[in-house]
Amino acid sequence: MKVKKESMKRKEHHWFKLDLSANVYPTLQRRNFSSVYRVSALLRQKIDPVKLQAALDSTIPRFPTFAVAIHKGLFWRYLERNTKPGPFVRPDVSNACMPIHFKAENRYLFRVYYYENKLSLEVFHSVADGSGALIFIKTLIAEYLRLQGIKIPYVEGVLNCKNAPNEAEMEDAYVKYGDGKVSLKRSGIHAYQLRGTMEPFYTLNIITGIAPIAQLAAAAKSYNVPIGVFLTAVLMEALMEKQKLDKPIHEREVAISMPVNLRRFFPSETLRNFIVMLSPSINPKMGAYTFEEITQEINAYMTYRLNEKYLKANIMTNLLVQRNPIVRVIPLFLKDLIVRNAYKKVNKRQSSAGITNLGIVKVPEEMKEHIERFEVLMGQPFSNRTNVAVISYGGEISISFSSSIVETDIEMLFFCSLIKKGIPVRIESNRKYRET
Amino acid sequence: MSYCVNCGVELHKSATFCPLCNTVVINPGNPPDSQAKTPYPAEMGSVENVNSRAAALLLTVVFASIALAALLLNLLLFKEGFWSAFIMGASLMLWVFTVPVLILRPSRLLIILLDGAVTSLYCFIIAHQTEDTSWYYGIALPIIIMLTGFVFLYCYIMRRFKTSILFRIALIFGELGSYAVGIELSIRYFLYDSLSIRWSAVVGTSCLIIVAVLTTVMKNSRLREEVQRRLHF
Repeated sequence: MKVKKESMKRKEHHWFKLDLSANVYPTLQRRNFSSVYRVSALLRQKIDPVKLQAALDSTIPRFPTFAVAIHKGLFWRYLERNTKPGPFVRPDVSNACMPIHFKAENRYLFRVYYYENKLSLEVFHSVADGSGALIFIKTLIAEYLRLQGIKIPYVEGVLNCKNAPNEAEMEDAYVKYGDGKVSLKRSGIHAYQLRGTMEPFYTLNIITGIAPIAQLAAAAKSYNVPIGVFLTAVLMEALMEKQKLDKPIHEREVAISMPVNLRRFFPSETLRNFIVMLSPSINPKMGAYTFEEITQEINAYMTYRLNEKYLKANIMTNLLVQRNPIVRVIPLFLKDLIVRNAYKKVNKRQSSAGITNLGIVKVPEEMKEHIERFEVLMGQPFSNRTNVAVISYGGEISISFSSSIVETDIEMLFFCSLIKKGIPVRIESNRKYRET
Repeated sequence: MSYCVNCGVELHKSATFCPLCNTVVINPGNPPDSQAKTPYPAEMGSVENVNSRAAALLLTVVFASIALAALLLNLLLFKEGFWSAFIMGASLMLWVFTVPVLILRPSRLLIILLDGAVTSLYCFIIAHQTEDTSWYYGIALPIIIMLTGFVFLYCYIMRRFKTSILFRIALIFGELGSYAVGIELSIRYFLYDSLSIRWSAVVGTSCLIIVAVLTTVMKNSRLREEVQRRLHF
């Protein structure tokens, strides 16, 4: 009787509605478009796959929103608890972030890889955003280290796998905070699009630059902006320079899409998605911008928008569409058709590149000596665009470019610009030598 | 480890070239360490194929049951004519359209040939049941063979050669023009026993002009670049 009461108190989740961001990704998921991203941790020692699998097995029950499969309903897709065996850790591959086939791999929507001392977690974006994935990987590393006899406390985002999952971690935070009355007008710009030679299918070119955070912070401080704004400005400058080199008939606006972690503004513990997209842009037709002007422009854009009220209105833009009774009763296949075309014709053209910054990773003191670095990588893009993902840990910042094109112009302009600003950069890549 | 002489970045100790600018590392004092592990693995991965046998089995059962039910009803209850042949033929056609793709994953070219063959077979069943096969041999079969041939040719060229968008458009128009001429020829031969064309000449000529324009643009590199510049999106 007592057991029954206890189980009734704790709500069992057999399925989840997809949250606001999660709804879009499965529609866009195609052979040539992957909404999969990767968070990697480089440990100080070579990874033991057997222990890693054991650690993963004990971690998964603590994360019910990760142990799911995606299914189609008549009107919306949904996530259902997945009790099939797996996922299984596997040796790493050179082409990271391959699309996840919803019916393959026992229907799991995340993968765990190992290569030498690198442990990588790849997650389909409908499951969680970068912050959720970071908590998962930190808990996984802590479990892995515990299996080697190292004591790790349950602090700094390391969850206790013996505890039952917390209700707040599974909430749809968009619904919780989506009580605004005003929505924003959608931007209708046609941004500059990179052009390049597409690589053979499934190739994901990665170039990671590692730089000391102290020197980067000092450089950002000299322009009175945060590191995130500084790096966005460097990317913006690189894109503007590239557009000039392309010698187009009409120069277009250069826009960068950038996810913002809403947990900084709304108190939510959710491990699912809780982000909105901002896209600062600069129109080169207005005149030649100096780097300082670019930083100030982006900083002003961000300062104006990074507050609770504006972000709530931003959430409402998509939430009101999702709540519209007509939209709700349209069958899923029609929704897919509309969303896919809208994305191709409108959203894709609204930004020239993407940049995501997961910030500084904090881990318990006892874990620090076992982790060398974190890396993050965005998935295979639809088009020629380049995506940048940034993460900092232990005095180093890692900036990873992922692209499906042969040319490295943006990467080169970006890192050379950092070098010119006095920031040393170390480069690691999976690119192959190009015979000329 | 070395620094790139061209762009100034520090390189991984295993790097033999700079990933940013493709400059080869030549550093006699500290050559690239060929024994060092590269930062990324070399093995490529591929997405696991989904096991679609369950879906294929379900479809087979559904089509087989429909065909069997029609046959039994035809033999036992509604005995006027052999009407179940239409339903059995349609079931077979739909089965060939769907199931081989799911379980065998044959090449796209083989699928086109199979689909063409089964469509011809179904039309033959209809012709045989209506006891007039002249329209089948005169019109239906030539049209199906031509359509299969043109689709096969297009897919074969796409697969075998690296083609530009302009070439693809030219090929589609070329095939459309030829197909229109082919259709009219078979209709006129069937109806009037004459091999002449009228309306398809207009379609064919229009397609030919488009093909000629596109071929000229393709052949002339300056013109091609101009078109690319003007039409880039």
